[in-house]
Amino acid sequence: MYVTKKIPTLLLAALVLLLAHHSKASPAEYPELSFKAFKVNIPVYIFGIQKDSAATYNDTVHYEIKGVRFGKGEGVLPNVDQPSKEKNSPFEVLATAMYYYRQKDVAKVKDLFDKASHNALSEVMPGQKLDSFVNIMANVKSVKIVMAFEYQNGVVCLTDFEGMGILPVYFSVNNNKYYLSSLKDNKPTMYNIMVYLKANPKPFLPAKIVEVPDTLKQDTLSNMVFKISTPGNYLVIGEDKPGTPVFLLCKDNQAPDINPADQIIKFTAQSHNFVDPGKMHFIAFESNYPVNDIYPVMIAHAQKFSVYVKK
Amino acid sequence: MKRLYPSIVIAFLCCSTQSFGQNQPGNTTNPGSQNPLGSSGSASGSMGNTVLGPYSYYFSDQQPYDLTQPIVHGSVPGCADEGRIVNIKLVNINGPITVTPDHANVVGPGCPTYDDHGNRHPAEVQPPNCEDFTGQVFVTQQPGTGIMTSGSFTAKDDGHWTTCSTGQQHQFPQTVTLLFQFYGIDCRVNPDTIVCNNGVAYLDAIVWPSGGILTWSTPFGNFTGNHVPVNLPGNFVSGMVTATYSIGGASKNSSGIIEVGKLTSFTLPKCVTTTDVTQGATVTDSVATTTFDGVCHPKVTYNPAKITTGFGQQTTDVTVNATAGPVTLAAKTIAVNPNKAKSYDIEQMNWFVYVKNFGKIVNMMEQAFAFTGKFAVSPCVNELSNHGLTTGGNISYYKLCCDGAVKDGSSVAVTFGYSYGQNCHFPIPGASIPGIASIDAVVKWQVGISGTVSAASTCGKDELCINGKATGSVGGGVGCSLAAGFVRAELTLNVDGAGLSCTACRKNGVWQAAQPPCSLCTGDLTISGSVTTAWCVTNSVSYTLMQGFCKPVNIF
Repeated sequence: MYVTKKIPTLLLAALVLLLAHHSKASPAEYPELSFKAFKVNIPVYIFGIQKDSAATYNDTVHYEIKGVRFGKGEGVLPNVDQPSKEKNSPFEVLATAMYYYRQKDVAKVKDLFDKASHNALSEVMPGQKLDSFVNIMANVKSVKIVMAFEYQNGVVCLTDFEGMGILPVYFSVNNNKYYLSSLKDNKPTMYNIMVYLKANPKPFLPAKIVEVPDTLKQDTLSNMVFKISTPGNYLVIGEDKPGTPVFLLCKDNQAPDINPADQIIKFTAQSHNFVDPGKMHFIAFESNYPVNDIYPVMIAHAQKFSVYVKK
Repeated sequence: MKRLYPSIVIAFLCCSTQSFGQNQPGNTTNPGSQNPLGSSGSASGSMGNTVLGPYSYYFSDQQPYDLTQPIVHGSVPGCADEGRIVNIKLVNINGPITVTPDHANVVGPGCPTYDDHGNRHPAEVQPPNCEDFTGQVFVTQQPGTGIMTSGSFTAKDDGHWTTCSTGQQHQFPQTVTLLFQFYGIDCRVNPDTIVCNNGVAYLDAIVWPSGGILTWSTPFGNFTGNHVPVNLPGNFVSGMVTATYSIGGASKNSSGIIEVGKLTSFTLPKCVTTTDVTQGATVTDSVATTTFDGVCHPKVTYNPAKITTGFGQQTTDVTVNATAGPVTLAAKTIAVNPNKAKSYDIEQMNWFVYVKNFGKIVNMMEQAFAFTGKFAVSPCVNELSNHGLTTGGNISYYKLCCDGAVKDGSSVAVTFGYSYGQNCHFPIPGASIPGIASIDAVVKWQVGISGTVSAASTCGKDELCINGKATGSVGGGVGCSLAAGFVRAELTLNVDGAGLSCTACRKNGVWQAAQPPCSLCTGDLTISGSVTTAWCVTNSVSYTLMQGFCKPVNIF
C-alpha cells in the first residue's frame, strides 16, 4: 500500500514536466522571411497616386522591389503569448510589440525601437494619443503582413491591423537583427504602393444606362440614373476624351447618389453644370476605386452616351 | 535828226579831247530831248565831258519789236576819251537785234566860221569821217520777258585831223568805245479783273525785271508795291486800277478793273458745334457759306457774329442774317454745345449687361473646384452674389453735331466691381491617402471682376472700353480624421489664385476682340503635407485634386 501511494505522485510530476517542456519547446510560426525581386505595376489614374516621373511610362508606375507579398490567408502574425527576445525577423519583432501592446507595456514597445528613434517616438505618441493608440492596439485580434520589402536601408512591412487598415511599420537592420525604427519618407514609392494596396484595383466595367435626358436645360434639373454591377463601387462619368477630368465620381449610396438601392446610382444635373453649350459626348463606367482623369482604358470599357447642353 | 533806219543804232559822237573853244557842243545839240518812236521815253544828259546817259527807249508794249520800224536813236553829246555808256531799254523785243553805228548821225566837232561881215557863226558840226565802225551785238530775247544783255561796240576812225580856219587842229579820237545795255520791261495787272475776298482787294501785277517800283492808281487811293491788299470802301461798286512799273528810268503801265460782286446766297450747316458761351462761341464767319456774282467779294457782316446756345442749353435754334452792301440774306442752324451734359449717378445703371460672360466664368470655377458632386447637387454655397456692384462714377448724356446732324452722345467714367464666390465643403471621395479615414475639403473660391469703364461718344466714334481684371482667390483647408494608427496629419490645401486681365472695347455697337486675348487661369489644387503613424513612419503627401487650367474667355 506504501508503494501504490508514491507511484501516482511521481507520475503526476513527470506529466507536469513533460507538458512544461512541450509548452516551452513549440516556437511561434512567423511568416517566412524570404525576399525575392518582383514588380509592382500601379495605374497612374488611381486617385491619390503621387507623381513619380522616373518610374512612370505607359500610364503605369513601375516599381521593382525585393521582398515578399503575401496572399489571402498568408502573412498572418501569430498572437504570441510571450515576447521573443530574438530579433531575427521583422515579423518576430512586430509580434513581440503586439504582445507588449496587449500588456499595455509601452516602455517595452519602446525598447524594441532602435535608440535613434526614441526621441521620435516620444514626439509621435505623447500623452492621450498614446493611450488611445495603446487601447486600440491592445484590441487588435489579427495582424497580417500584406507586403514586406527592402526599403531605404531597412525593411518596411505594410501591415493590415484588423480594423485599422494598412499601416507601414519600418525596421532598421543591424547585424541581421531587426529593430523598430522611425522613418521620414519623402519618396513616393512606399506611399504609392500603399495607395495601390488600398485601392486594390479591378478592371473597369461599363455602367448601364437606366435614364438620361436628351437635353440638359438651364433651369431644369434632369434625372440621370445608372446601374453598376457591384454594390459600393463607383460610378464614373466623364467626357469621351482622354486627358479630361472626370465629371462625376459617385460612390454607391453616397452623395450625390439619391437612390437608396444598392447598385442604382441616381443624381440630377442641369446645363449650368457645364461651361459651353452644345452636344457633349460622355462615357459612364464602373470602378472599385476612385479616379480623377479619363484615360483610354476607361473609354474602352465604358458605356457611351450623348446629351445636348442647352444654355 | 535823221530818222534811223531799221536797226538799232547807237548815235554817238566821235570826239576829240579838245573842246571847241567858244562854242560848246551842247549848244548845237539837244541832249536827250528827242522823243523816240514809241509810247514814251525819257532821256537825261548833261553838257560837257561827262558820261551821259542813261537813255531809255522803248516801244509800245502792244506790239512786239518790229525790225522794219525805225527805232529810236539817241545822241550822246559831248566828247570824252572815255567810253560812253548808252543805255537803251527796249520793250517786247522779238528776235535778234543787230546794232550798227549810225554813220549819218555821227557828228563831231567842227570849226567855227565867219561870214563876210565878220560875224562869227558857230561851228558846224561836221560828221567825222568815222568809218571803220566795227562790232556787232546780237541781242537775244528772253521769251516774254524782254531781253537783257550787254556788250560793247567799238568804233574807230582813221584819226585824221581837221584843220579849222583858225588854224587850230584837232583830231578825232582813235577809238570810241560805247558800252550799252539792253533791257526789257514788263508790267501786267494779273488778273486784270481784281479778286477780292471779304471786301479786301488784292492788287497783283506781273513785273519784270525785279528791282523796280510798282505803283497803283485806284479810285480810292494810290498804293505802292505788289500783292497789295486794299480794303474796299463800303460803298465802292466798281472802278479801274492802273499799275505802273518803273525801273531804270523806264516805266510801263497796265490796267485792271475792280467790280464788286453781289451776295447771291448764304447758307449755314444744319448744326454747329459751339463751346461755352463765356469762353467764346463759334464765329459765324467760319461756318457760313456764301456765293457772289463775281470774283470780287465784298465784306459780309453776320448777325449774330457768333453762334451760341442759350445759357445752360444743349441745343438752340439760331437764325443768322448775312449783309453785304445792299443785300441781306438769312439762314438757320442749330447750335450744339456738347459741354452741356446731363449727368446721372452710376448706381442707377446696371453694368451687368456689359459683363456678359461672367456667368461663364462662374461656371468654370464651379466646375473646376466642385470636383466632387459634379453637376449634381453641389455642396457649395453661394456666399457672394453682388451682381453689378459699382463703386463710383457717372454717366453723362449730351448732344453732338455730326455731319450736319444732331445726335446723342454719352460718356461714362466709372469703376466697378463684381464678384461671386462659393464656399464648398465636401468630402473627398474615397480618400486614398493612407492613414486618412476621411478628408473634408473646405474650398472657398471667389472670382471678382473689377475695372473701369470709359467711354465717350464723338462724331463717327462710339466707343466703350472696359478694362477688367478678374481675380480669384481660392483658399480653404483640409480637415481630416485619421485612420486608426495614424496620429498626425499635417495637410494643406494649396492652389494658385485665378486671374484674368484684359481690355475690350465696344465700337459703334460691336464688341471688339479683347486685347490681349482674355484667358482665365488658375493653378493646380493640391493637397500636400504629411501623415505620421504611431509606428513613427511619416509619409509625405502630395497629390493634385484638380489640374490648373487656362481657358480662353471673353468676359465682355
